[in-house]
Amino acid sequence: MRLTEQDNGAEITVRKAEEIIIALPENPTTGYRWSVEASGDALALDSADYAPATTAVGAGGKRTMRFIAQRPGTSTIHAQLRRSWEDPKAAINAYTVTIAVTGIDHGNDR
Amino acid sequence: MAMTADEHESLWEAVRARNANWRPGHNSITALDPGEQRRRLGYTPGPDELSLLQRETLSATHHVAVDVVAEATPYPVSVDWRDKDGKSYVTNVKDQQSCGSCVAFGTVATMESRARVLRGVPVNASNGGALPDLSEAHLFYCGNSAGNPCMNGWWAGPALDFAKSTGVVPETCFPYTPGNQPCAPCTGAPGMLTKISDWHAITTIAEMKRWLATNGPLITAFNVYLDFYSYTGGVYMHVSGARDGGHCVSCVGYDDARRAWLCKNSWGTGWGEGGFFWIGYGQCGIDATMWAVDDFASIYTVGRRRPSSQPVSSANPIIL
Repeated sequence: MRLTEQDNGAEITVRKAEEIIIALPENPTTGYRWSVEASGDALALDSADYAPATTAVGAGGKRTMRFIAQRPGTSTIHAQLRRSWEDPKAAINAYTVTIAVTGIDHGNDR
Repeated sequence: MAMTADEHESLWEAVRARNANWRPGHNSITALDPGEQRRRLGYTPGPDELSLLQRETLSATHHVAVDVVAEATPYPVSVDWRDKDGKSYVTNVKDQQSCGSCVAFGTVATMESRARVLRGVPVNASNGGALPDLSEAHLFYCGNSAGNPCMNGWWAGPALDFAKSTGVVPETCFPYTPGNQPCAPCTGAPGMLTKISDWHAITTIAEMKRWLATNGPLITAFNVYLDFYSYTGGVYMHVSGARDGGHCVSCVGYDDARRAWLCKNSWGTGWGEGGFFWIGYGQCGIDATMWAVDDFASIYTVGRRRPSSQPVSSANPIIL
C-alpha cells in the first residue's frame, strides 16, 4: 500500500504483514523534518529514508516512511512537519492516516 | 519515533567518544528512525562547483594543512565580525523558514557585512541603519530561474552573478516569505539596487583566513548531517547520522584556539548559539571553497533615491 500527501486524513484497511509506504515532501536543510508517531501496536515503523529531488545546495526531496502491519488492530499515524528545536505547536504541516489491520496474513495470501 | 532519553544519551556518548566539544540538545525528532542510519544521499556538482563529497575530502586535506599554514602566515589567531573592537558588522540572524533558499540567505548576509566593512558602518553605530537590510526574496525568487526553487535549491556562483548583473533591493522593497512566488519587487526597485562589482572563490585556508581578517565574512556551504539539528553550542563536528543535503551559510570568523569557523545560520535565533555555530576546521566540507564579495558597483543607502554612483572600495570609503 503506497500513500502520498493526497491521502491525508484517509482510513485504510490492510492485511497483517502488509507493507504501508508513505512518501511526503521534505526539505531537511531548512530545519523542517517530518516527526512521526503511530498509536497502538498494530504497526511497526521499519524505516524513514530521505532522498533529495535535485542535487543543488538547499534542495529538498521526499521522506519515505515504511510501516509493517504487525498485528490486528487499528493504528493512527500522525506526522508533523516541524523543527526539532521549536515548539511542536509551530509545526507548519500535519499528516494523519488511520490504518486498520485485519487478521488475515498478507504473506499467506500469495 | 520520538527521541528517547536513551537516544539522547547515545548522541552525547557519540560526542564524547569522538572527543567532540559540542552540546547536543534534547529534541524530539533528532533520531527519526533506524532507516536514517542507512540512508545515503546522492549529490552531483553544480556548474563549476565541487560535489559535497569532494568538498568533504578537500576540507579534510585543508584541515591537515592548517597547522603548517598557521605558523607561516600573518593573519590573527581569531576573528569575529560580530565584535571587531566592540563594533559588529554582522546583521541580524534571519530565518529562511520552510524554503530551500539558504544560498540567498548566505549570500545576502555576506553582502550586507561586506558593504558595512567597506563603508565603515557597523550595525551598532549611530548611523548603523543607513545601510539596508537586503532582500533575500529578490535574490532568490528573481535570480533563481529554476522551476520550484524552494525545493530545488541553488548555487553560490549564480547567486553572486545575479547580485553583480542585477543587484539586490532592500528587504522593504521585496519582503521575504517562504514559498515559490513570482519575481515581484516594488515599483522603485531600479533605483534601490545594491550591486556587487565582482566576486571570487577562495580555495585555500590561508586565503580564507586572510580575507576574513581583513575584508569581512565569506559565503560557504557544507553537508548537514542528522546530528547538526541538535547543536546547541560548542564546536560542532559530525559524530552520528546520515547526510541530509547541502546547506549555505555566511562564515563570519574563526578561532585557531578552538580550531573552528564561526558561521551565521538562517534558521532563526532559536537554533544553535543565538543562530550562530562553530564548526571544526575540515568538517563536513565547510572549508573546501568559500566565496568572497570583492567590491560593489553601488550600495543603496536608506533615505536616498538613487544608489551612490561613486565606486566604493576599502581604499575609497564613503562617509555617510
